[in-house]
Amino acid sequence: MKRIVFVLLLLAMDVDLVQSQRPKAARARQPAATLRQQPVPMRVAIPPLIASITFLRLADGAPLQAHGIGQGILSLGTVSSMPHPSQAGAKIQRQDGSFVVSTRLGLRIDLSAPSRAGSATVSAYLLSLDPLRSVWLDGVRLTIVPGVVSGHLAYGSVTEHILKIVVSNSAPPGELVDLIGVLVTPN
Amino acid sequence: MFSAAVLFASLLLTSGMAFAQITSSGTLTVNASLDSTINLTFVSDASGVALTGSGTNAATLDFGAVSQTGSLASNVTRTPGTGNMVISTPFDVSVTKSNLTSADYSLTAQLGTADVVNTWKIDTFSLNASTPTSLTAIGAYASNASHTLGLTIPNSELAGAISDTINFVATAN
Repeated sequence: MKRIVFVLLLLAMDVDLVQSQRPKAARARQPAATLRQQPVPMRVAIPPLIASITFLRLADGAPLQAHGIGQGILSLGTVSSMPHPSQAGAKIQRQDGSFVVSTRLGLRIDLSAPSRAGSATVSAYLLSLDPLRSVWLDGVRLTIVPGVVSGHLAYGSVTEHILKIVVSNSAPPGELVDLIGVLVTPN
Repeated sequence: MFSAAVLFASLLLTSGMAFAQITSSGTLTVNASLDSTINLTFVSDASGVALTGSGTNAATLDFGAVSQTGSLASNVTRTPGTGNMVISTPFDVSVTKSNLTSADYSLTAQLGTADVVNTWKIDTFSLNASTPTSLTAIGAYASNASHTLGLTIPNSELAGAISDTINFVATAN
């Protein structure tokens, strides 16, 4: 009984030695060897590229308060179909049945890896629609579906953009609030 | 040893090619206060004297040279009276509204400078410089409302220029 066990143990050791001498193609059939030799990139912590957006007031634009990264409040003041003295930085243009309030604002796209050059695609959308007005950014009419405003905005530089709001003359007076969502995707 | 080299090379290639690209977002809040407006413009009437500045809110109506018997400018009417003459011509007023729930408007007119010699009328209403004169109580928006400016000139008045300013005020009802 003891003799048989000893022989089996020798066989097992021999098999292991032979396996380690085989070419790689043959070793693929060994689960343990395969797992040990495959590089597993998922185990390496690669920092993702995260782009951030900052809203900025331009010298001739309407007052804009940036509330941290990615948040801004643009104040157009009192608007009407007639130019109003308090409309600092906003222009009024009358047209048939409506008027247009327009202003300029700045955007800066930064990347979590500042050393990387390149650009990002910027899309914008409205969080809600009002049938009595439309909002345009750089000539793109915004809807609740994100639309590309710019396909190549360079990182780190301030770019100028034009926001237009077309207000119907039949819109009731009162406070106007539009929430514009902006998406930034590194190219 | 070879396996370690392969593994190292693979990591280098992987780290150079597979930066994750994450879409970031931001929100811009746009605030404004929408104000109501009404807008008054003077428009030349098809049967009246052509206004200088037609389509604006500061127009000039020129009767031209007038006399008891002489020729008159086109679309100027002369009505002889007792000891005077009345010259008149129609003109239009257009009042439009924006962002306003008002159904109609009222219209008044007032002389800029008192005239103790001549009498200024719009339609049937005599104007003065002290108080606005009501012309329309219920005016329709976005339509050319025709009015007639009449100037009564006494025969005793010496030749010379006659001019005044008429201030119109439209008020939303």
